[in-house]
Parts: sequence; structure tokens; C-alpha cells
Amino acid sequence: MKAKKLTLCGMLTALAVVLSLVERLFPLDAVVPVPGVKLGLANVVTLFALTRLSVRDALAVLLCRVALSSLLMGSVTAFLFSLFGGLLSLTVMWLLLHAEGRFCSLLGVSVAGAAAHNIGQIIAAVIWMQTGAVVAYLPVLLVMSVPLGLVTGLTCSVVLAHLQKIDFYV
Amino acid sequence: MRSRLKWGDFVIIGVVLALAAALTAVLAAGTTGDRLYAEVWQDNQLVERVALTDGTDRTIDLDGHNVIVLSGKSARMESADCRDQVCVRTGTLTRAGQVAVCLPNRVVLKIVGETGEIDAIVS
Repeated sequence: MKAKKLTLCGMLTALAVVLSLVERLFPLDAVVPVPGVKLGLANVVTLFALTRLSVRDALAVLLCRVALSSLLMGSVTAFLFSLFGGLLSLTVMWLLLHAEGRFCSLLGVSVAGAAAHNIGQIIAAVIWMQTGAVVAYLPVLLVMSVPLGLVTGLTCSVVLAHLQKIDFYV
Repeated sequence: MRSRLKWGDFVIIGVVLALAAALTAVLAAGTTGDRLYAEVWQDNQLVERVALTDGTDRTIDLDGHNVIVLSGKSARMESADCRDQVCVRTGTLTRAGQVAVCLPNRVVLKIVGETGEIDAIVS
């Protein structure tokens, strides 16, 4: 791996960890009492890495981010949920990005990623709780993933538009 | 800008919302009834099952980890010793199908409905 790319991945990981910390300042789950509701700002980084780097780099950044943010502020359960959600979200966004531009825009990719993140989280919760009762939270999470996914998709699109102006390519 | 909406975006949003609606319908099915019961599950084991009537007034203490209050035809998670407090903020459950889940302690409080059986027929 080239040093420049490695540095960029490190920076993106740091950024994703900071964004996970920052979004705790907006306790969305105080408004919507469902576990796991959050802005998903760190998803901007995953989406960015998928569009600008490769799926392997995006995966590396994701795994490091999940491990680090769980160590910093989470628990074993938080780690499990973030991991499942993150992996499913990454897979869905990676697949949809192949059709981006023709079928859908970055916003649709982001919404699908947000929805997949929630589905992954609930799957992890079902495994952890050994009961399907937590599925009751999924409809609310899915509805929330539409506006939240649009916001993160828009953010990523704005970031990409600005970075087009500078020589950033690796 | 890569955010100009295309038709596929609406398809994706539609699919997500349809999934939510379908799931709500599936979850709501079979949970209605004129008799309500509060069920407390811990580690996927049924700990308590209490019929909720107008006179119900009970407090269930799960070794101090979770305190559940059943009052009339409602149930709520009074307190939990976990950090996120999501189950406490879920508030009062009054309808069949509603749940309050404490993920860290693996406790589930849910309300189930049952159709009342006929006690007697007077001809």
C-alpha cells in the first residue's frame, strides 16, 4: 500500500471516530426512544471511502473505526451492533454504487446504506437477545433511515464536490 | 453534484418505507385481543406473565437491575441500571404488541393481547 493511501485511510479512520463522538452530542434516541437511532455521520466516511478509494480500503477504515469507537465509548454490545450494521451497510452501498449515476444518486445509496445499517443492528440484537422481540423497533428505525440517509448522502455529495477542486487523488 | 435525484432514489426510499409498513403490519397481526398480559423476559426466559386489569398494581424487581411497574392496564420500565436508559425512556406501554427492551441486561417487557375466552353462555 502506498504511503499516501495509508495516510489517507488513517485520516479517514480518525475522522470517522471523531464523527462518532460528535454525534453523541445529538442524542436522537432521547427524541425517538429506540436503541440505535443516531445520525450516522460516520457513514459519510464509509461512503466517501467507497467512492474515492476501494471497497478494501473502505472495509479497513470501517473495521478500525468500529473497533476504536467501541473501545473509546462503547460496550461489547455496541461493538457487536456497529459491526453488523456497518458491514451490511458497506455491502449494500458497495453494490448500489455500481448503479449510481444511472439508476440512482448518492442520496439513494446513502438511504439504502442507512436502512441496511439498521437491519444489521437488529440482526445483531436478535442474536444477542436470543429473541425476536427487538424486531419491533425496526419499522421506526427504517422510517428514520430515510431522512437521516438523505442528510448523510447530501453531506458526502457536498464533500466530494469540494474535493474535486483540489488535487487529492491517490 | 452527485445528489441530483434520479428515479431509482424514489424506488429505494419506497422500498425502505414499504418494508417498514409491511413489518408493522406483520408485527401488529395477532397481537390484538381484549385481554392484555404483561410479559417479562430475561435471557429469553419468561420470568413473569401478569394479566393487566384495571386493578393491577405490581412492581417487579429483577435483582435491582430492572424495576418494572405494572399499573392498571399499562406497564413501564421504572428503572434500569444500564447506561443507555433506552427502555426507561420508551415510556408507558398500553397496547398489545408494544415492547420495551433493555439490551445490556437482556430484559424484554412486552404487552400481549389475547382474545377472551367465553366464560359461560346463558341461554
